[in-house]
Amino acid sequence: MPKHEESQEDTKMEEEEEKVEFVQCRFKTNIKNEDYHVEEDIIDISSQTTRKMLTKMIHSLLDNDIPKKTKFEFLINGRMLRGTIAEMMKLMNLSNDEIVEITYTFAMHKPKEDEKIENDEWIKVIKSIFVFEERKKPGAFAAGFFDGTVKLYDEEGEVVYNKQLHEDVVNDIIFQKESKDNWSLITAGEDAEIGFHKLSREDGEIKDRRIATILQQANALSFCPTNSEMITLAGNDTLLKIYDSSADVLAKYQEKETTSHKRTKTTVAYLKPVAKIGGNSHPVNCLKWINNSEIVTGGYDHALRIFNVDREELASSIFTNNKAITCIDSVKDNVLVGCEDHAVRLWDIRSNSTDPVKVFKGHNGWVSSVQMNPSSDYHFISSAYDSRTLVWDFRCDEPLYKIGLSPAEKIFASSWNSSSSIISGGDTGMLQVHKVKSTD
Amino acid sequence: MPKNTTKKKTKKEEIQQEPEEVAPEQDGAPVEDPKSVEKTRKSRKRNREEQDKPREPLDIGYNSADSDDEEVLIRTGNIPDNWYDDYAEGDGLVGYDVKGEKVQKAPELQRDELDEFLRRQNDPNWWRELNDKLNNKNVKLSKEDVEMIERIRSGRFAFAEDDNDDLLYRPPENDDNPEFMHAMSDFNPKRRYVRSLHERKRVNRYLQAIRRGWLKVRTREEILQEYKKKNEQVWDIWKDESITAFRPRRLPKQIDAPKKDPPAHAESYNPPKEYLLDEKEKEEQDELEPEERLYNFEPQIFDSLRKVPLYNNLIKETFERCLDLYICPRVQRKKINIAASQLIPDMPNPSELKPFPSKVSIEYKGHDEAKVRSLTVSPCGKYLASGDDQGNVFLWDVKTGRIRHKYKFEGIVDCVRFNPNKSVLILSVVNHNHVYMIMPQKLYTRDERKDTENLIKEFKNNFIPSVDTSSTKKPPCKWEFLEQSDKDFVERDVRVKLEFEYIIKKIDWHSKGDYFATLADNIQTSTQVLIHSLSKAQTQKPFSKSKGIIETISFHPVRPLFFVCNDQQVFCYNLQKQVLIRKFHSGARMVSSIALHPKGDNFVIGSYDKKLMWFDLEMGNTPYKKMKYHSKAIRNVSFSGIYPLFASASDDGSLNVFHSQVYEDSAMNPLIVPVKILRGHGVRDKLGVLDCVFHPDQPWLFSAGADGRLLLWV
Repeated sequence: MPKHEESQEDTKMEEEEEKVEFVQCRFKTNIKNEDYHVEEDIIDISSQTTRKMLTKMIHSLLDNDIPKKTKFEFLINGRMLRGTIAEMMKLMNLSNDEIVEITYTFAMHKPKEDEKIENDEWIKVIKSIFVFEERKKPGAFAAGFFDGTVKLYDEEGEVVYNKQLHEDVVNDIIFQKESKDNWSLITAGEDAEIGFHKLSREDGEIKDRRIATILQQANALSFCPTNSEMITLAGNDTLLKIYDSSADVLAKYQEKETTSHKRTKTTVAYLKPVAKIGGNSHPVNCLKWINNSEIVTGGYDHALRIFNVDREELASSIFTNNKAITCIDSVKDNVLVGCEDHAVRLWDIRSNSTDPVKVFKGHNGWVSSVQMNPSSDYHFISSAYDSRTLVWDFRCDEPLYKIGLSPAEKIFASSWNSSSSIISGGDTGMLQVHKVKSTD
Repeated sequence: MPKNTTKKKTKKEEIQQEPEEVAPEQDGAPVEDPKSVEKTRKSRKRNREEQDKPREPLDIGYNSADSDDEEVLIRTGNIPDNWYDDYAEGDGLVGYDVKGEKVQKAPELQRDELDEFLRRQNDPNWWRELNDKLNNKNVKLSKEDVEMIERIRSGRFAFAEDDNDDLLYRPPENDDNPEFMHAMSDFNPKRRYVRSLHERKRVNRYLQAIRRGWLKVRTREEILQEYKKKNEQVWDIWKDESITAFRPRRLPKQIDAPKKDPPAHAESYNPPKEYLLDEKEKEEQDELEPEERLYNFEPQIFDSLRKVPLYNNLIKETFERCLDLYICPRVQRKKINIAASQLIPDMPNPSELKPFPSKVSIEYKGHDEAKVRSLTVSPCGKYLASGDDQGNVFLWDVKTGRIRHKYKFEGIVDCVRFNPNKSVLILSVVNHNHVYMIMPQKLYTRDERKDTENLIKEFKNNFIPSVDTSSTKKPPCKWEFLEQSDKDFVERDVRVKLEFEYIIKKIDWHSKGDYFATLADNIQTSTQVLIHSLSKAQTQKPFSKSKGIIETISFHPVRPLFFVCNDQQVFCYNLQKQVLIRKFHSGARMVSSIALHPKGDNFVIGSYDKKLMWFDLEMGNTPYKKMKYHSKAIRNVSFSGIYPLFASASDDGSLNVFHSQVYEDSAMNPLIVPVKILRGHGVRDKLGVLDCVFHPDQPWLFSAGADGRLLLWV
């Protein structure tokens, strides 16, 4: 018997040796620069090849003087290669007889720690400046704190504005540039106030002026993508509300105020909503415009609610299997959802299926924010209460990079500042800025 | 056949006639000498000879001991003789012999009716001829034969010479001795001829019964019909398997006596040395019980087999063995092969019963090393309050884990509870012998607070402070509405303060948020449980008598019922009627906690002896299901408000989550499935998880541990 077993083992070993098979591959690329193009020949590659080996191979195939450190990502049928080709093919049920097309692109550079800005208070929200067009360079950004303070940072990370605008936690901030030295800043606080501020730089100092107030608790604010004077918000009262903050409306409400309080010449207008859309049954945590007429919201009622703003009604709901939604972002029709159960899920809102298209598992705590890279269709970041911010690619099951902070810290907010830097902050009060080198 | 019978009849007649002729001869000449008998025989022979010619062969037959009559000469098999009567091949076929050849009837047997008649006419001795169908021939009776037949029929010996043989037995002849009378058969007593009085009475009774209709007599037809029916019933052998599988009953199977073990090395007269016991081992063995010993004898070594002495215990052991075999009943056990998987009850897969909490999502940090005794979630689901044994009460933001506010008390904070009414923003804190009603300013905005402030003002107006100081009895509870200038008001947002006689352990709010009950710690008095009304600012003593030391209390979520648990029992009171309705036997030694299902038809009890009991209010006074999953005492149990879940917290540092589906249809039993063990808490000072509570809207579980951790499980 033992002899027999040995012989069996031998055959196994032989089989394993035989398993080192060769796969017929063809390289393709979607890099526009022709220096990086390889001849489209069919090459036999060992099925045990990993990403590093393939990168070397590409480097040797390219005769040009390209930088030696250029890293590539390899895609097979739209999925990023991790591990060996054989494992990948097994996962995707590809047979060895077929010719495998391997598409290579530039790998995303690892985010490098650039700056640390210390604060005393916990950071609740970080928002980069709202722009309509895509930007390459990082711009100004704002941070809201748990004590109600809002700070504005310029491109270099210097504080340009620092004021306590709320008595309680700042839930959300949006701000945009109106002209060279003028900004408009809207903040929502837990103290049931939403303040509209005009900021202007005069003699190197920024002066603020509150122009309107909404007495309303809100967890999420958003500009209308077509008209930045229209504002949508949602909060604990479950209603999606739309406010008009154009000059005419402001003037209308201001007048009323001044007549009622003659002595105190306040210029603050108390705004009333233009529209209220009901549909949620529990507090709303986040909202996002998908296109010019539709908003998706997520909250504690375990459903993604899609509202049609033009018709002022709930268009559809996607139920999430009893997962509360903590944060939301979208690219085209795909909605990224952060859940309390450590996972980030990707839903296609066009399909009626209750199952997500993809689940990204990598966090180990309550996911507090997700955000798409504004200049890429594939990359996004997510941060959670496990002190980590993760950089993901849709095409890959694992996170590309982990941006770690000090341990035992909750990250409440993370944001892309254009596509070249990542800002994150949490309960240590430290704002961390990571630079991401452009791949081009 | 009729042919034969007629023949026989006539023959009989003839035979009956015969003795008249013969008998006088015999009587007249009683013979003693055998020679004379022979002579008479011969003379008789001679007389006959004249009439019978073919008699010689028969004579030979009589001389032989085995008569040829008995021998079957023609073997045609054991077949009825009428088989071949209608055979086409003509008359006279009797059958086939061993060789397969046809056997024809003898010609004398083939005679038909007419021939027979003619023969009778011709032959005066025709009656002597008899058919012997078996041997296919006719037999002629000689005179001796007839005589013998006569003798036999008249009850004498077959042969005349035997008459005088004294050695032969003769039955006593009645006629000869009339004095001899048979006791049973010959004497008829009088009663044989007289109608029985008893029978007559009996018959009369039956008659009467039949007339009055008491007795129903089946008619003959009915009986016949019944009989017919019985006979018509056909036994369907395929109908019932038990019938086909029927085996005749046998004696119980013999079970062989268990075999004795064959002797081993130690039992040898010359065992290997290692089997011998040294002195130390001997002592050890002696100390043990006889059953536990290695051997029931002492291994010994002998040079040769002939030196082996008689075994001392032989008789004793043989006797014991016999006793064992005789006294111990032997039973053949049927082995049933059941796979272990078949014994497991059919339970749904836990993954189908989602959602339920399964992992830690947020840890609330702030208690450091203090044991967190109690925690509660605000009815809006946004805030969490926890109290520890260093007197800290923390107010947390559920979503972010940030401490919103902190109150400091002295001593242990035993219990914190939010008012379950969404519009009354009050947190009740149990601290030593005080209960504080706190309106946490930091949690709510001014507008939200306004309603509650007004409510409290209203309550304050309702409150009539007891001025009756003369009474010697101290009231069990003293209410106090704090003024704005009070220290507690400023520092701790306390609006109402209740002072008790005893140390308070637990507070439980009614779901409407007006009534609340307090439980004093470990004191057996009638004031251990008190029920208070916040709006009236009053205290009531619900029980006049103590029911032992009460461990825990709970209001019913829907009906006006109140549950009180002592060590082993649960009492259910109706608060409106002020009566005890039900008494449940928990089956546990030390009840620690009770939780009522939000629909109110079921409740769960956790006990310090690790048991978890599910009760159905409609299913009697004993638990519907007992569960024992924890390895240490259960500290707390809690139901989810909207999800079919409940959880138990234990001192072993784990929480068990159960799926508990209660159906609207009361006929369906609740489905209880353990779905998850949550491990994450540490154990400190033998205390593990001290409290657990579900989120009001989400399938989330909060747990507080003695290790100072406060976790949110999602």
